[in-house]
Amino acid sequence: MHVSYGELVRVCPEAIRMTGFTYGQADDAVEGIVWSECVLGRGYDLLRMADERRAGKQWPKPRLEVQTDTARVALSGLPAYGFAARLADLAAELAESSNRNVGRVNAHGAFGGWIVPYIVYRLSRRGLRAAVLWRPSSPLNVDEAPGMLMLADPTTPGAAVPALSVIAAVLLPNAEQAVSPEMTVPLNLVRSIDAADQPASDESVIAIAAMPDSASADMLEAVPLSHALDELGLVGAAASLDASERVSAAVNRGLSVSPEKHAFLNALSQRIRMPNTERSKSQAG
Amino acid sequence: MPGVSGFAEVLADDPSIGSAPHVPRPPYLTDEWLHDHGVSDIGVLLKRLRREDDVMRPEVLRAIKATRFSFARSLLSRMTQNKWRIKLIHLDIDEVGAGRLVYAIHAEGREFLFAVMSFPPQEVEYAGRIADGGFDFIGTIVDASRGHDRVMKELDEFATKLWAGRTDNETYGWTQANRSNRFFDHTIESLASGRQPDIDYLASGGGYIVRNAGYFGNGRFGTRSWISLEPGHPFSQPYHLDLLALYLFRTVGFDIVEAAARRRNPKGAVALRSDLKRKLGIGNSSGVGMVAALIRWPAWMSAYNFPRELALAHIFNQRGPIAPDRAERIRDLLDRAARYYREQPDCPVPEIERPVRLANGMDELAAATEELLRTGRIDGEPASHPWIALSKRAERTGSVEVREQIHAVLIDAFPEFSDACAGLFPKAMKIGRTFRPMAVGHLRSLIRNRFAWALSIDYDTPGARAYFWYRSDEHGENRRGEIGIDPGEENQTFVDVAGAVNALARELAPLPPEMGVGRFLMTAPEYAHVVTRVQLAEHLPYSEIRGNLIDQKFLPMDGIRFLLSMMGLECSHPHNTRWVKGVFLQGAPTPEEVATGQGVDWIFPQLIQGPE
Repeated sequence: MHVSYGELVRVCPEAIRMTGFTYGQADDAVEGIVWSECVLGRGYDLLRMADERRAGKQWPKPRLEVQTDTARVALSGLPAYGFAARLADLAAELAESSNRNVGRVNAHGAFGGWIVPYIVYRLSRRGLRAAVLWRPSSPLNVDEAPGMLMLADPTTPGAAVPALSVIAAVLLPNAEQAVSPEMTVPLNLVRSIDAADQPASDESVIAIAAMPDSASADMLEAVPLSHALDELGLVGAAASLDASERVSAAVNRGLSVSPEKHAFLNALSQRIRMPNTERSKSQAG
Repeated sequence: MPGVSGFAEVLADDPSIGSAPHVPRPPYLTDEWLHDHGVSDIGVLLKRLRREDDVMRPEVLRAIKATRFSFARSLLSRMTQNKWRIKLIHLDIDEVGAGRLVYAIHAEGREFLFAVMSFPPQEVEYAGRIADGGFDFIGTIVDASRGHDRVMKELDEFATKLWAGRTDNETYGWTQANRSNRFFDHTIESLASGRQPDIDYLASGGGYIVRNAGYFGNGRFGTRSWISLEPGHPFSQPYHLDLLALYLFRTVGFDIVEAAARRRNPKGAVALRSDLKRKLGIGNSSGVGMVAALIRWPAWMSAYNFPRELALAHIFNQRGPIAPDRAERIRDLLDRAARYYREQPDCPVPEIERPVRLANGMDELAAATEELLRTGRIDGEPASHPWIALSKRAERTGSVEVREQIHAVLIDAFPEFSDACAGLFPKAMKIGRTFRPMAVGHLRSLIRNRFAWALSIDYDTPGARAYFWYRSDEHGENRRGEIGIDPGEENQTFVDVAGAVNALARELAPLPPEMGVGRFLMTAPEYAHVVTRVQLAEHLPYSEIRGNLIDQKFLPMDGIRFLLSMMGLECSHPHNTRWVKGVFLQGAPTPEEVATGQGVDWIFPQLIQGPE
């Protein structure tokens, strides 16, 4: 069925709240969920996953450790979309204040990896180069995103939405352009991820490395993509997708969504409503 | 009277007021733009801007009047300038007024259809609430490429499924309206009897035969997203589609009463006289949900308010002597406003100034304008800045509404600069609420500087935490419950900006000033929205209502009245402090007049006493 971009933006705040977040956090997460649906067709799925796994009314808060320009965030059992914007903004803050021109954030234990490309987009929009690795927990849940490495350059000034290069061990849905393994990527940026600590268990990892566009040339030393993937232990094809084009298409033409998915989203958002009583009626305008 | 001290400072004749402007300068207001529009001393102009405390408090917002910035006014202006043609191309109406109509709208090189289904009259008089069980009229605005058959199917979809209906990207919005039964019937019966309806009788009910019941576009039901409309699109200005739907339903009402009258008496029925059509507007009532809407988009709030305040600052900056034609225009508008307010029904809500008081205030200011023109003085005192002097004179009436009405009139009397300011609106609208990394110390300082009004609220005062907003099961209608009494507080609709800012300030207080706000938000992500509001307010003035909206003393009608004046309602009538009624588009030109391209000076029409 046809769903409008404006409709998603309108319905999502309350739907996200009803997956266990406060108003403030839901407001913060709307952009990511809408973006994920427009670009990857995964926004609805992320909300369903969270709704199914939710135990209490609200999700617990994350734990954070920061040492100079590196942060470690414990998100065990939490839906990543509720924290995606925060992870990106923390990485940006660390990068922009780092003596080494790099900010690193490692988040462990979250589920819902289809939101991770949005982190790359958000960093790119802020004018940063970024590399982000997603490793799902094992064994891999059928709804979960496969492992992927994503790279993005800063947004071109004036562009409404940055293009996003996604290089993945398994291709993203509908990725339209294969990338040659000989394509070069900034080695040290990728190594910044690789150097990040790994979880002891089989928990998922979101590993972010961000650097300002003004970073020194040695940080941007280029190596073939195949080399970078080898270093990270990733295998598979690589592809890029044009996030800008996909968001524009969603804005201009709307999205095609299964009726069941959309009915779920509406039902989720309507959980916020309170029963109609005589007293309630008297409180209307 | 609220805000006298700060306002008086801005209105001082000496332009070297203080050392800095009272409000932040938005990034889109460039020196180049100001120079291009004839501003030579930018610093002085910016110091003339009113303090936000004197504009954004609820008791002032409720007094702010419709201006040429209001969306109904700017829509009619655009329609007329571009000679939009609205033509009835399909009419199938029976003797009770039931049936279907289709209009073709030719606007700036594009063509649209507006299709309407009119249901047989019901015994019930629908109020126009979202919770109502039905509607008298439903309509849809679509691209003309959709064609007659598909637009008819679209009406069927809307009629049979209502809130569960679906459409697609060729549709801009679905809209509903209701008859005002007594006056609608009176008009049909009169026309069928070969005579015009009694305008004084119609005026006794507010001066309308059709009431708005809502416009649902920008994605609802799958309609086209508003942001997909390119800048030159006829509907690209915010709220123009909503108000076009209102305008069209006003026209629909006229066409249905005429068609039903012809059905009843094919040979003897007469058409509704065009001067009467002009006098009739379209009824509207709005409830507490409007307050939540005002809170949701602070950047839009600023985008609407700042250009209006900039235009006013420019007017205050003018020196005498005044041009006779401007004085004549002001006096004319004041005379018409006085007459208009005298025709308005008295207001049952004691917190609202009575229309007759406003009428008397208009008379006083008309006399003051006359003195200003003749002598260059007001009340015998020299007036080097004549419009400052006139505003001060309004202030001396002791009426905030009189003061705000003269400001609206002044904006109308300076159309050149005001319209240029309105041109800032699209740029202002594009500013998003996004997080900017900064240190905790900086954020704390922003809160102190920009939200001192919120920090000063004493939440220990009895009644300071009295209400919350929530959505009801009745189609999501927003309602207001009592904290600690009504269920649903955990699902409340966000309106308490001041409370959120206070909570944020408490969280930030023990943190080291050099710590990054991004680090703080990682473990307190629930504050992300209020952090971005504070950051937005650093550069955007007039973005927040400066009051405690959950206080027992807060009156939802204050926000509702402001929003309605922003839309273009000249005079609103609170039915109670939570429900505000009014009539849009009274005096507005008919489609035939719009198509001529001849501007019609339509505000403050004379309703009573028959034809002019």
